[in-house]
Amino acid sequence: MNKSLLLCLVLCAGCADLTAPQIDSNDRPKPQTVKAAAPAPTPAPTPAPPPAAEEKITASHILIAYKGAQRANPKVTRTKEQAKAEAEKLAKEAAKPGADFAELAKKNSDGPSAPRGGSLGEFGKGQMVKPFADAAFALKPGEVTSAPVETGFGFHIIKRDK
Amino acid sequence: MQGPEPRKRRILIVDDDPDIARLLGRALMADYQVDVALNAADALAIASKQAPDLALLDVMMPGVDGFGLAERLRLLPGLSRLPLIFLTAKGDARDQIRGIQVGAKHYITKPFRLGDVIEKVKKAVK
Repeated sequence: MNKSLLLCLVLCAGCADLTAPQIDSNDRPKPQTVKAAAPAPTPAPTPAPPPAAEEKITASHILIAYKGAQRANPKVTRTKEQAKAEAEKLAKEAAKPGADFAELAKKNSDGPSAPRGGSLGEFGKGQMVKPFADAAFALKPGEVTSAPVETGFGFHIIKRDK
Repeated sequence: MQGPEPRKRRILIVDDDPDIARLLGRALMADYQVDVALNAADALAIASKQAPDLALLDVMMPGVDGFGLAERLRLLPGLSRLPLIFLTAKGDARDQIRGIQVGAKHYITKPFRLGDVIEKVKKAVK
């Protein structure tokens, strides 16, 4: 290779190097080749991993509401203390062997599920307010909470059905 | 540069009659983000993923009815104050009272005027 050819090649290489910054400073779109030299990593759309099968349980409850509790029926006049005492009494009654939880719910619950024996159907842990979910998931099937569980709605006595 | 558009309010429509669910969905989708469920189980699954700002519930549904669903929706984390509108063919006064007792904003009996539903939805999500 002779000297003049080498010089020409060096100069040409220099020119090529200078073109890119010039285009940038003019605020023109970069030619495709510049991008192609260092392609931005475009993450391929990966399908979301299938959600882990969440444990689901079936439970019923008896709600003892009080005046001032969230969504309390206007007919409810008992105080919070009275509601707590009543719920504690019912929890003991519901835990007795042979107790009919559904019947107790029908007679005593202030929840809209009362006519269905307090049945709330199936739910996962994240599908229920925390204090309720924590208490219900700690139970074994057939068990009733030993003490009422408090939420904004009042005091709940919970039975895990399945 | 303009700021992002305000988030569209999310309405959950639950009716076991697909025609009514679709009709309501179409009527509301221009102004709201609409989710439609044909039964309580689907409604709960949707609401636990995307919290609605209002639920429009049919009362008479097989399995868990609208009142039962209302109770379950309100027991979802963060939804204790979810506004509800009941929509039903039942004109029974006792049902209307029950609807109001579970904290419904409105109780609309079928057949309804679509404009009436839209107006009530608008007021309820304000």
